[in-house]
Amino acid sequence: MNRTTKHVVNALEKLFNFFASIQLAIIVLSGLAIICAVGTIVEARYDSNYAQKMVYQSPYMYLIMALLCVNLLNVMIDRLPWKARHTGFVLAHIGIIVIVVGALITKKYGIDGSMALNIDEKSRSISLSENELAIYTSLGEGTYKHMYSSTQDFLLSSPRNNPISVTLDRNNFKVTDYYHYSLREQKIIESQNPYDGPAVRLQLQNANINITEWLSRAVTAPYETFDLGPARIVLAEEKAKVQNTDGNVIVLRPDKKDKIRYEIYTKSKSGLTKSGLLPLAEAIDTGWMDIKLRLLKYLPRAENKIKFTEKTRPTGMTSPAIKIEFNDKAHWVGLNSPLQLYTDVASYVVAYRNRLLDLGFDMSLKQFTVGRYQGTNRAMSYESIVNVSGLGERHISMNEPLKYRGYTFYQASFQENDQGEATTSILSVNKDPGRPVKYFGFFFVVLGTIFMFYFKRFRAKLEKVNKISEGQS
Amino acid sequence: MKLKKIFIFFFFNAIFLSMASAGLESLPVQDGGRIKPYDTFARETLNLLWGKETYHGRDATNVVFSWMLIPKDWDNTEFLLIRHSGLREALNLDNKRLYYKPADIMVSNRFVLLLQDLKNKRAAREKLDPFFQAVETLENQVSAFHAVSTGQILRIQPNIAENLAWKNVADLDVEFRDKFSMITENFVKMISAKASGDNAVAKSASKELSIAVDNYKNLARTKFGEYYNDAKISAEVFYNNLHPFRWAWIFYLAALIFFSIGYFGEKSIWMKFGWATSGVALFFQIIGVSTRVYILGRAPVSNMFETVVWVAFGTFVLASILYRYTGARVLPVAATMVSTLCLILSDISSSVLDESLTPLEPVLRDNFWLVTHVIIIVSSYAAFFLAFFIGDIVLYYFLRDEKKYQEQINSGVNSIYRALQVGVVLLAVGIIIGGIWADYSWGRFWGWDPKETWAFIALIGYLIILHGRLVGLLKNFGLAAASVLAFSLVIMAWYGVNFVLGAGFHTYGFGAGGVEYVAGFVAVHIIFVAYVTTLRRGISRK
Repeated sequence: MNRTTKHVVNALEKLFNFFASIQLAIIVLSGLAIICAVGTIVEARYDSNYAQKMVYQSPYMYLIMALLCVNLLNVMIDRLPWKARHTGFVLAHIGIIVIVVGALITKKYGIDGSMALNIDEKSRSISLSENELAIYTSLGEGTYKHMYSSTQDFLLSSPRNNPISVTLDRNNFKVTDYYHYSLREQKIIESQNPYDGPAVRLQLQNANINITEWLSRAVTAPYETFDLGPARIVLAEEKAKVQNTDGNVIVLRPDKKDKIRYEIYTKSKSGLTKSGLLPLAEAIDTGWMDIKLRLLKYLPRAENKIKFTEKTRPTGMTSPAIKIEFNDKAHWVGLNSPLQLYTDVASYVVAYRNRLLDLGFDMSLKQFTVGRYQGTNRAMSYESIVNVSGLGERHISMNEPLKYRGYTFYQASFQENDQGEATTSILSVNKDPGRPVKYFGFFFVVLGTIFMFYFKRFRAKLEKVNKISEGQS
Repeated sequence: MKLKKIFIFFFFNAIFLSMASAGLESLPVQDGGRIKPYDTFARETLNLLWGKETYHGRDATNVVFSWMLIPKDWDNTEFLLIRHSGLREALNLDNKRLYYKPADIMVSNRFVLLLQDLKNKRAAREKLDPFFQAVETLENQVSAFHAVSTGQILRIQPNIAENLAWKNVADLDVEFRDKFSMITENFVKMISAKASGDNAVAKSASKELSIAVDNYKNLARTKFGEYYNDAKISAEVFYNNLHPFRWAWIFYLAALIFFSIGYFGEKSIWMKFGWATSGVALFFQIIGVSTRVYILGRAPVSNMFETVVWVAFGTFVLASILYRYTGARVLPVAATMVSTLCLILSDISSSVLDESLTPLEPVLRDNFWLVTHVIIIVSSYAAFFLAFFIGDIVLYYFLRDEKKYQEQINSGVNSIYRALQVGVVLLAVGIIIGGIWADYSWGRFWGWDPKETWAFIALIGYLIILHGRLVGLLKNFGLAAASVLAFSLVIMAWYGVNFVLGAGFHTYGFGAGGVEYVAGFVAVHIIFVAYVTTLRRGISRK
């Protein structure tokens, strides 16, 4: 061996020793603890998804995990050949590497999505947490053709710096900005456009309730119905025939002279109980539950203006939004609320939405039941009864998931309407090929730790202690 | 398993039925999603408004009942507790006092405006800061007072369907109203007799009152069958009156004093006294915990209060087991320190550690693994808490004279090491079982939820310590200091996540308050360790 090889071998040995050292282990573990701690603070300030992307799945985390595995492997190689007393040590450390590998498999091949099912509704796809940009073109009569889609993570790579440009039939779509947290505000403003319909701002009020709401109707619809808690409000054309006036219903008919006629239907009296002109700001007694109706504002032609404002931190109402420049005119599109765009000859639908994954089988919600703690609205338990094609009727409840074709369906939560009736069941759906690997890892770790602490050491020390105390007495 | 459950159930039933309490306090009330004795309802309501379970020596049962009878008087009594001084200022109240008249609050325009702000914040689903949490509390206080004084919240007439709301005092059916007016009549008789000091009349009125309550219950039974569990109601009244955890800390404190004399003064006989008294404390604690389990039918580790009580219990049991093997006398001293501290905290800080018996969130119900993972993790906190106080004691010996007290230091450090080993195994297993539960019921092992992440950080901290000890980086002093410092991580995982970080899925045990005291506790210990370290360096340099 000449000198250079000796140097190289020496250096390699030093490197190996460092990678097998307890010092590195302490650095790695401390680093891991710090990253995790930072993650929890980021999560408290922002949200879980943000913390995952920016901290827990950051390059630093991958680096720490890699170093951890190298460290664990080297320290085990260092102890070769293993003796019986190494059993616990080897098992526990292999276990940790196995868990890391399992987590990687889950990250790479696992599927984690959710499914919102309305009662009696059928679905065969789940929505994933990753988002995509999709463009459809209208073929008329409510049919659309899929033109473009691509998965995008605008949080990690903002279009502010890397705009995304798509050209279809010489029309250019360009994503130029992104708000991770934005507030969608809908404003109704006066318009001169003859294609805009009327809008009214109404108040329903008694001792217990106070509802104030803008209602607007498209000019093409003869009437539109709105559910406002205690009453149904119908905004109709002057002469339009309104079907279904059962229950507590108020029909409002703006006429050509910008006056509004009202008709009040009462559930208990099954029919029209009151009608007349509705002047501005004057309270009209509806005759049910002491509720007074008041017209606060009336716009014969109104435009629905949607505005997005960026927020630095999330609230329960914020959602992501992207800015799209379509033929050089800017529009904002919120997550999962598609936007229709027009040219003189064509129309498109642009959507920024959760990516959908086809399950390959249908699932429908037959029934959803919520058990409540007595005398309260607090949910005690809930359960979905679903119909799965190829499997039949199955129950899914909290802590009792359904497994089918590699997917597992968990009862996550539900939505209810204003009357407190559950309307939608939300299932969390997942597929985790890393699961058995991780379970193996856990098994090794637990077994190894027990070996390490309790079998040899404890017994040996116990004997020692016993001897000492015998010697004393 | 089932058989055992049934047996235990009947055992408790027999005990509590034998001491079935009569009187107003045992009247079944539907409130907060379960049937509870009126006693509990009254205590909880009075606690919400006044901050204590008695009002100038008067029982909550009497005070709350009188809100209904003489609401006007109470309206003009200064008894609404407003803790938040910022809120007192915002309401333009005299800031020197803590208690205010309900009437003053209810007519305050500023309060109406604050309520509107609160409503807007709720609509925007914003997180509430401490000020608006205080507004929310005041809203609850005012509405509770209003609802009690108008009889709307006291639901005492059962419903035919088991899960529906009961009828409240204000709209009882005629026959129930008649029976209830007998209760009020005798109540008034009793109160006025007591006020005028006529004990004989008070006694007979109180007997009449019990009979009236029994008549009311019997009427409800004939109409609705066995609409409540008599033994459970008695158990709860018994639990409310006994304050088992208060007795437990008193005895633990006595034991701590005895053990300390025995340990620091090296007098064996006092150790025996210590074991005897702490045995009594343990007995009270077991009564307390098992009565709660019996009443609610669930494991006793689902909120902050219950985990604090569990740590007191776990620490003492673990120390006793370790003592059995090692004979280290420092163990019971440190353990009774933990138990006393925890139980005193749970007793005096009822605004932070809510003792009330509440039903569970849907995910937390009926799951063996869930309960197991919480019990195991909380038990690991007990082990780390034990190591923490032993660390304190060992550092104290280092401060005194490390050569002279070599023996105490060695045995203390051995106990720390052992406690840490137990803690690490429990914590690792607990985290893994928690992951398995999460995987089973949500499909996710690990969601980086702050509660689980901080438990994991604490595990890493203790793993570093154990590895450092194993390769000799941490000597005796290092291990003692580390066991004190690393407990900060446990405090963060156990308390800080809920009360400082306030985010994540594990929001079931959430509350607010006490942050400054806990931070102070941690800071004092960090300073203590730094102090001993510098002092020791100085000595070794000489």
